[in-house]
Amino acid sequence: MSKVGAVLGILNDNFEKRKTVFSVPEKSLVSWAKDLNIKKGTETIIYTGHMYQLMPITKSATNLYENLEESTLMKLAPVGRIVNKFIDLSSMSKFAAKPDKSEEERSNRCLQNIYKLLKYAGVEAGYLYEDELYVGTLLYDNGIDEPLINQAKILNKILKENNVKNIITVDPHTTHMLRKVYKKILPEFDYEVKNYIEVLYEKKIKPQNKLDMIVAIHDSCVLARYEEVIEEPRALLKNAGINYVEPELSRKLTHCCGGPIESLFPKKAKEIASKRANDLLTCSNVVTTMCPICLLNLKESTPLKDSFLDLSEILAKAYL
Amino acid sequence: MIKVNSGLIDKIKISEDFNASACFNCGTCSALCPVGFDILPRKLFRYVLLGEEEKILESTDQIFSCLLCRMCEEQCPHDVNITENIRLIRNYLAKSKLGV
Ligand code: SF4
Ligand code: SF4
Repeated sequence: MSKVGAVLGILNDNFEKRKTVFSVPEKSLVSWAKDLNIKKGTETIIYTGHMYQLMPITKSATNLYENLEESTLMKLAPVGRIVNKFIDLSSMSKFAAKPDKSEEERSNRCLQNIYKLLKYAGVEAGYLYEDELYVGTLLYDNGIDEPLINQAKILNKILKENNVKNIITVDPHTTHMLRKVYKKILPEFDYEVKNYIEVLYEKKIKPQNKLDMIVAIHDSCVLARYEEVIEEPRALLKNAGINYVEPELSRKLTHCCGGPIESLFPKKAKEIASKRANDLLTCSNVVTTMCPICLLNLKESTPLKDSFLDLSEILAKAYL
Repeated sequence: MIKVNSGLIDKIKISEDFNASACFNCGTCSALCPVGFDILPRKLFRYVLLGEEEKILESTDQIFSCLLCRMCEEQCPHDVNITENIRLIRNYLAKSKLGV
């Protein structure tokens, strides 16, 4: 069995057995919402898709795997798949990457910011808490479609039970999966799905503070090319007095951060990220991303980690 | 000698979105590819159309190293669904060859 097959096998087995690909304690998935008094369910919900919450784990896992790519552990991946059927490998402390505490706090803050920005825009969004599911991007991208149909059915049922009609997503991959892919694999999956950036833009929110800063924009491939959300983040930044600059490859021609192949080919992913990070840093020493995967990959590929900010972090400073 | 599997295309073409035959081999797609894909989408699509299963298998790592970033599609003058084609080739490999 090839390494690719073994790694995909582990992800798939986890998904079928545990409805997710990486094991993250339920508590860390919902802890961002703890003090916000968000209603359960409701017609309009914020849907995190677990992506921000997964990043603190992915960060330490990437560092761990990067050195192991050519090593014995990866050669043992096929065995890992068999073991994984019985024991949750990703949660075994000996092998498991420890979530980075400060990254965890940052991810939670991003989600809180997004929720507060929506509230400021007049949108009362509910949340599904523990009932929310990972949407399976990593499997779908690797051509594993079949288990997703079941996941789409389960999610559809949960959404119906909660009387949900509108879904506000926070990351580009979940936006794309729920807006286009789920609809394609399950025609009755019929909800209005928008990314929070689109919602804030439509609501024409007014800034409370004008920020005097120069920010380089990194468009996400999925948001710009798959979902054509390009002008909205720019308008929100400009409206807050921010002077944004664009790298040579931006908008529809944005350059990928390398993140999508991080689980299978971490070294290659880092090379791509580092090239992109350098291009962005030649434009400005502050760079904004709009996807938690882009944020993690770009910042981890350069010593200038603090230069990278999630769009929600900048918008919170200007609008809240 | 090249071994040809004439049924391969039917196994991969499980969805109407698979349109590798629309590719006319111009190479525009690879100009800005961040991975510098060695077999380039166009070569990969030829292997599929010709039923060269072994060549596809040999290229497993490259096929799974595509970012699905769609930079290539943005450039393609023939509206080839490059990323969906690659995803469907992955689907075939995962199901039939990799034991997923
Ligand atoms: S740009 Fe389109 S038509 Fe040209 S080689 Fe690439 S896929 Fe084929
Ligand atoms: S989608 Fe794949 S082949 Fe196309 S430009 Fe991106 S990495 Fe290259």
